[in-house]
Order: sequence, then C-alpha cells, then structure tokens
Amino acid sequence: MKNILFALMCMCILPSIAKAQAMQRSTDSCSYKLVGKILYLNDSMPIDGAMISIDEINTYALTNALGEFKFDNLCAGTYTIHMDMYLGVHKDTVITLKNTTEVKFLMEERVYGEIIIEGFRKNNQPEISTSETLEKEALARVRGASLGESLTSIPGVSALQTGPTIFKPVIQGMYGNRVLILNNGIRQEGQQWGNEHAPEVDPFIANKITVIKGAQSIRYGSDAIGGVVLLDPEALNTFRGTRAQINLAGFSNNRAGVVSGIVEHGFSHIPGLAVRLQGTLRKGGNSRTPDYWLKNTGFQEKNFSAAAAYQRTHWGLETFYSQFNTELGIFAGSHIGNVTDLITAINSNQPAVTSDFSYSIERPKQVVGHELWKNKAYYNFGRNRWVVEYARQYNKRQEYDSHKAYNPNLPDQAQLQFELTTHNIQSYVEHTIGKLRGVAGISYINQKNTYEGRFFIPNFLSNAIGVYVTEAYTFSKKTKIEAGLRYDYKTLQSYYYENGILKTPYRTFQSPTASLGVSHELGKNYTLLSTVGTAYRPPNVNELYSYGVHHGAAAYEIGNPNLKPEQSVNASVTLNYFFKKCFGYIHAYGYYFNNYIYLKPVFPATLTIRGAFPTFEYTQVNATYGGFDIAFNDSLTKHIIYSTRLSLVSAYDRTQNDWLISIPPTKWQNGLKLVLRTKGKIVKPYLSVDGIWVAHKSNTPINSDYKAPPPAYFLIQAEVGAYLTIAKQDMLITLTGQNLLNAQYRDYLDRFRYYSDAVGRNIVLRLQIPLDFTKNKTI
Amino acid sequence: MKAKKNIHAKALLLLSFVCMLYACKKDDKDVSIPANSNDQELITTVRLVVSTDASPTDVKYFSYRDIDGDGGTAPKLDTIKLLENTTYTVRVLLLDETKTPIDTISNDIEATEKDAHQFFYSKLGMYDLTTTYLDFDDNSVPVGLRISINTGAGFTTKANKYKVVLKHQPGLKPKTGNGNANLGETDVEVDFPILIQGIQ
Repeated sequence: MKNILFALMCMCILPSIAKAQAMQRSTDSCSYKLVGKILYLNDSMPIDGAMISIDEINTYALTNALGEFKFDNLCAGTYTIHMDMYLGVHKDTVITLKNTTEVKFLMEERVYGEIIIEGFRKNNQPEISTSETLEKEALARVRGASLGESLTSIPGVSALQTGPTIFKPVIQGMYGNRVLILNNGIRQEGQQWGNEHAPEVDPFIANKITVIKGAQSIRYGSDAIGGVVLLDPEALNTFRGTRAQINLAGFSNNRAGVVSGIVEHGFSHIPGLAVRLQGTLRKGGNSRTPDYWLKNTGFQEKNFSAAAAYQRTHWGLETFYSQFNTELGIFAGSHIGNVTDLITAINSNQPAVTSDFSYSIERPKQVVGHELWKNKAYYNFGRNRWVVEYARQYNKRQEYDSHKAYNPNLPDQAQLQFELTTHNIQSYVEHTIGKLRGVAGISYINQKNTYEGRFFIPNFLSNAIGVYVTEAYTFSKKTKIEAGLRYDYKTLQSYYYENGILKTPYRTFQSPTASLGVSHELGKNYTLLSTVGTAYRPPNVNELYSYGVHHGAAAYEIGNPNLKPEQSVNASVTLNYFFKKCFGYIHAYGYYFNNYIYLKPVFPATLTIRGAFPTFEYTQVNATYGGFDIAFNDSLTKHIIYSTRLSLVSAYDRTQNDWLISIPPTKWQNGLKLVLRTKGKIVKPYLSVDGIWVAHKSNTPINSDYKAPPPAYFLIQAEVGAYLTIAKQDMLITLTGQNLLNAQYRDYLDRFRYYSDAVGRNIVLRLQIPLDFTKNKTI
Repeated sequence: MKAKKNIHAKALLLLSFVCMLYACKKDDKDVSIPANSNDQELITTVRLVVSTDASPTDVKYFSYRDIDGDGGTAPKLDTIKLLENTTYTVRVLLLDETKTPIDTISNDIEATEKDAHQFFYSKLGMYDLTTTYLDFDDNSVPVGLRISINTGAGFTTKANKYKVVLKHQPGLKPKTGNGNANLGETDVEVDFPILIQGIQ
C-alpha cells in the first residue's frame, strides 16, 4: 500500500559515459565527463531540479527538465556523490571514474528512512477531482497572453471577453464570483464582480496553471462553485546556484511585445535559503479586425514579484510579494452614454469611430493595481504537515469615463475608484493516519472596501471564517473515497448614502457545505471519478447594494438588499481512459441551484438626463446547469497525433421557464500534430494545425439581449516549434498563427460583439530562454 | 569566503529594503464615511432660455430638472410653449443644482470644450419648426449652446416632442461641415413635449 501512496524514492543513474573532451586541458588528463539522468524508479519520470554534488571537487550540477545532468573536465578517481531533491530527499553514492572512455556506474541505493516522493499536496488540492494543467510546453505556447485568454485551450473553459484585452475565465459556464483564482495558494481578492474586470494576475509568476472543474467548496471556500484556477510558481530551488529564464513574445496584430524574466539563486553558505525575482512588461497597441482598427484598445502592464524561502528538514519559511499594474484602453466605440448610442453602435456594421494604429491609451480606460504579500510557515512531523499562512492583498481599481470634468479646474481623475484591502489568515494540518489522508483547517478573511467618485458599490467591512475537514480513504488499490465538510460564517457591514442619508446595513450569512467523491479503476484502461456536493455563496456586495448606470453595459443596475445566499447541489462523473495509443476523458456535470442570483430586466426604464436606460434588478430564481467536456488524443502513427476537444453547456431558469443568458456556446476543436525527428541542435521539432469551431448559441432567453447571438464561426490556427540547443541552453521557440484565414467573426461571450468584429489574423513569435548557470560548471 | 558571505547578506538586505519600499500601499480612508456622490460633477438641469428679438426682455424658461441625479425621484419636465410663425433666440444652460452656488456647466463647455461637444436638435412628430445654430467652434463647426428657432403653423396635438442631445466627441468632432450626431458619447438626451400655439 505504502508503495502507492508513498512510492519509495529510488533513483537510478543511467549508464554514464566518460568521454574524452574535445577541448584538451594543457596540464593534465582531467577531461572526462560524467553524464547521467535521474528518474523516479516507479514511473521512470525524470526528476527536475535535483542537485548532484561531488564532495572531492566541491562542485555541483542541477538536473534539467529531462532529469539530465553533466559534469565536464573530471579527472580519474573516486568520487562521493550526493543527490538532493527538493522536499529534503537525499541519497549518497560513490563512483569510480577510470581512465577509460566508457564506464558504467551502478549505484547502490540507500534510502534514509521513509521518503515521500509524492510529496505534500500542492495548495491542498483535492484527491478526487477533474482538473487539467497547463505546464511546460503547453504553458509556453500561451505565454504572453492574459490569464483568461491562456486558459481557453482547456475544454470546458472559455472566456467572458470585453474586447481584445479583457478576459474573464469561465468554467463550466460560470464566471466572476462563482470562479475562484488561487494565486500562489491565496484566494485572489479583487473587484471580481464586474464583467469587464479581468483577474489582476500575471500568469508569468506560475510555471503551472491548473483548472479544477466543478464546485471545490471545501478547501477553497464555499463560493468556488464553477471551479478553481490555481497558479503555482515553481518550488524555490534551495540548492546552491543561479538559474534564470527569459520569455519573449511578439504579437503581430496589435504589435504587442512581452518580456518576462525570472532569476533565482540558492545560497551556498546558508543551506536551504533561496531567493527569486521575477518581472514582466507587456505593451500593446490598437487591435485590428480583418477590416478596421479598434481605437483605444492598447494596454500596458508592469508586474514584478520577489520570493524567498528557507527550508530545513522539518520546517520552512516562505515569503512572497507581487505587484500587478495595468492600464487598459477601452475601445472608444464601446463606451456608451445612453441607449441611443448603443442602438446606433449595434445597427452600424462597422464602428463609427475609426482609427489607425497607435500605442496611446486615452479615456475611457481602466487603471488597476494589485499587490499581494504572502507569508507561510510549515512544520513537518511524521507523515503530517502543519501550515500557517498570512496574506495581505490590496487592490485599487480606477475607471476613467470618456468624459473628463467639464470644469477645467478640476483634476483629471477617475470617475470610479475602488480600493479593496484583504487580510487572510489560514492554518491547516495535512495528515496521514493509516489509510486515511486528509486536511483539516481554518481560514479567516477580513476585507475593507472604499470607493471614491460616482457611487456604484458601497464601502464595506466584511469578516468571514471557515472551518473544514476533508479525508480520503483508500479502500483498495482500485478504490478511493473522499469526503469533506465545511462551515462558513460571514458578516457584511456596508456604508452608503441613499438620498443624502447614510445607510449602514449589516448582514450575516452562514451555511454548512459537504462533498463526497469516489474514484474507481475499471480495469486497466479506465478510471471513473464521481463527485457529489453542495455549495453556497453569500450574495456579493454589488448584488445587494449596487445602484447606478453601468456604463459598459448601458444598463441601470439595482441591487437587492434582501437577497438570500445562493445554494446548489452539484454532481459530476468523469471517465478517464488510457490505451496504448490514445487517451482522454469524458466529463459530465450538473448543478441544481436554489436562489440563483442574476440580473433580471425590470420595467419601466429609468429616465435620466442622458435618456431612458433599461433597468435590471438582482433577483433570485431556481436554475439548473448541465454540460459535458470530451477530450480524445490518438497517435495515428509514430509521428502524427490527432486530438479533439468538445465542450457543451446549457443553463435553464426553472422559475421563469427560460434559458439563462451569457452561457458559452458549444466549442469543438480538432488538431493534428506532426512530431518530427530531432536533428542536431533542433530538438523535438513539431508542426500543428488546429480547427476551432464555435457554434451559434441557440438556447438564449427571449427579449433580454440587444442583439441576437452571432452566427457560428470557424478559425484555423497553426504552429511550428522546436527546442534549439544554443550555447548549451535549450531554447524553446514557437511561431503561432491565430485566425490564419483572417476570418470575420463575433463571439457570443464577447461584449464587443455589439460594436465590432473580433480581432483578425495574429502571428505570435515566442521564445523561452533558460539560463542555467549551474550547468557545465567547470572545476 | 567571508567577503562572499557579506555580499550575500548585503544582497538580502537590499532585497528586503526594496520590498519594504514598494510594500503595502495603503487605503487610508475611513470605511464608515463613504464618499458622497454629490461631490461629483453632475448635470441636473437642462434649461432653455427663450426670447424673441421683438421683446428681448420677455424671457421664457423651459427646464428638465432631476435634482437628485439618476434614479430616485423622477425628473420634472416642462412643456415648451411657443407661438406660431415666430423667430426665437434660445440659449441652453446646463446646470448642476446640487452645488451652492449653482454650477453652470455650460459655461465650461463654452470656455474650453467647444471643440469636443455639439448639441443636436430634432423633432419627434410631424410639425413645422426649424432650428439654426448660432455659435461655432474654432473650426467653424456648430456647437449649439445658442440657436434660433423658427416656428411654423400652430397645432394642438400633445404628442409632439423636441429632442435635445449633447454629444461628447473628444478628438472625434469633425473639423468641417455641420457635425455628426453618430459620433461620441451622449451626455444629455432630453425629449421636451412641445406645443406651438396659433396667434388669435
């Protein structure tokens, strides 16, 4: 049993060859190489970032992503070799390098105690859930795009768009407050209530982005109904040495450039201490549809982060600080003064506002900053770990209307400003007791929001506490069951003026949530995951108290202070299959909501000095969501891989017997990938072509949209890429053509479909340059 | 060796210092004292100041007033009452009546924002009336803070309306011609009921 849960760490060094080196040293015959590879014994997967040090010559090397390491210029002799993996796993051996060109080493394995290579769960991830991860090449291929856009390659994930620059992730048809983003283990707390508010995260901080589909209430908070996006930075390498990586990307459509760099250093004199610095610059100009430029759609973004970790055998400390700063132009043709403007924009085939290319950002625009400071301490005891975390987040959002003040003496300031400060303290214990493995924890969140300028959402103070426990029990090699329970309590004190009178409503919300999951292996090739659970989400402050014209939407939005928490029961079934040549999954899910909160049109329209506005009020209905995602990959020949991905979702309002608005249309993507042979310095070159088909959205509510859903569209995307070995570094270079046919289309989930076509052809060149200064250390 | 250690220690110190410098931007506002939206610039009133050349001292006012801004109490709207076959001179005032003294926003437009704004006037319903611009911006494109109205024959139906629209067109307002009502963002859109009375 233990073999499965905690596969014993066994490494083997593949036969290494000592060869005469081309460049001869003048004085001696110390010209042998030691080349090796470190793999997990149980599954032969390479171990990345392990440190190999040689005592006698006081030098070391780190393994690359393929688990390989190399020492040059070794003399003949006997060497003591230490291997360290992160998580404090060590192994020692002695090898003898002889004065021959070909020497094989066999290592005697010696394991100190019981070593867990599975490690602790990252971010407390559930054992039984359906998730998909972007990392390594898959992540490199979407580098430079915003977070929401990067995720759309995953089946079941789409993006709610506001033009070419603002993307909000949609998981299983849900977005905004129903989707949670965990940045480095911390709940991202920004102004997520607005549909034109993109997540304030730099995806470059992560080397792994995971989407967990379905309600994940127990671990991440009761409101994670649609799913969770996890951004995980690489674990800091506390071994000695310096590593760096540079990412470059250029986009032809909006002439955007992205530069991101990361450098980390493990201190040799203070074992276990490591630091990392990371920064990203992004700048783009106006985007172009096949026929015209979109005025004022440029952006510029400046982000950086710094991290430090100190690891000992039984305990460790980590600190992480990051800043995200963006300035986004809002397409001049989309900022709407009133309904007449909207109808005019909708009825013209092409925006009335024309433009050329430009990098300048004018009003209307958004300026958003987000700051995160996270501290973590952990203590390992036996097969358990106790973690304490504190994080502070500060989010400042400014929205500039296209109009500055009439009075020239007034400052040129934002019409809307929100400042949100969040403190988050959490503590949890990951434990293993026999066949039981689980987490028990407590989480506290304190939030303060203030506004300046025009009223839209009130000032508020909120306190929320959640306690949870979840346990996975392994019945047999084939069957595992996981059950969780959580209780949440939240207070919300708001402050706002209504007709000049200060109102201070106070609300409290509380509810238990529960979940149950079973995973079962059906024979060799199938695994079936089934989950069922409940979720609950207290109404957000905008749903309770917003009041005013939402300029982006040309709608008058009215909150409802009497809303009750939204409640859902959800279930999902996932069948994973893996044959010799093909693999994939079928994932089906359903949600049954009571008190589902949404914006309902009300009459009459609100008359303002800018004309009459259609008016919407937050209301609660009973609703049902259902859908499925299918992924299938097949190696047609040794060199050609075919893949297909289909996702479909529907949502229905059971109270009014009508469909719900803004649910993603069916998407079907088919691709062929040709993997070529490595030739010299060109490693693993490939060529791929993808066809993306998005259906017309048919199940939409009647008379609740300004414009009928756009017709189906088809896009072609192609890519070539390879690793190039230059100066001993493996550079990854890719060239991607998006919307290659320059198709004219509009997407149902893009609010700009009212005003303009989506962007046209875009050629993207990406370069990933690792700089591993620990490689090839000469003696 | 020692020197190296020092460098590392210094690097660490520097790093933490840089972090401190940037760290922790603060929101100093008191959460229990929300901003009062009345501090914002707000057009509460559109007032038409109407007179004739024959009797310039006989001035009539027709207003659209929404003193509490969007929502809340419904706006109050006057009916424009004019005489048939008469030429009127009209001045348009945009007021913020939430301020003391009352802020005349139209003066700011006249002073500095003519090149970015234009009023557009139109009739809703079938009746005889023509509107002529009397003021122009630096490019000789109409602004519409001052207009003249020529009325035709009188009528008694109450369904007719006179539409007043102010467009904000920063960088978009045409440099020649008579302007383009389809550009920019609407700042004001008011439909005044109108009556043109026959002269007995």
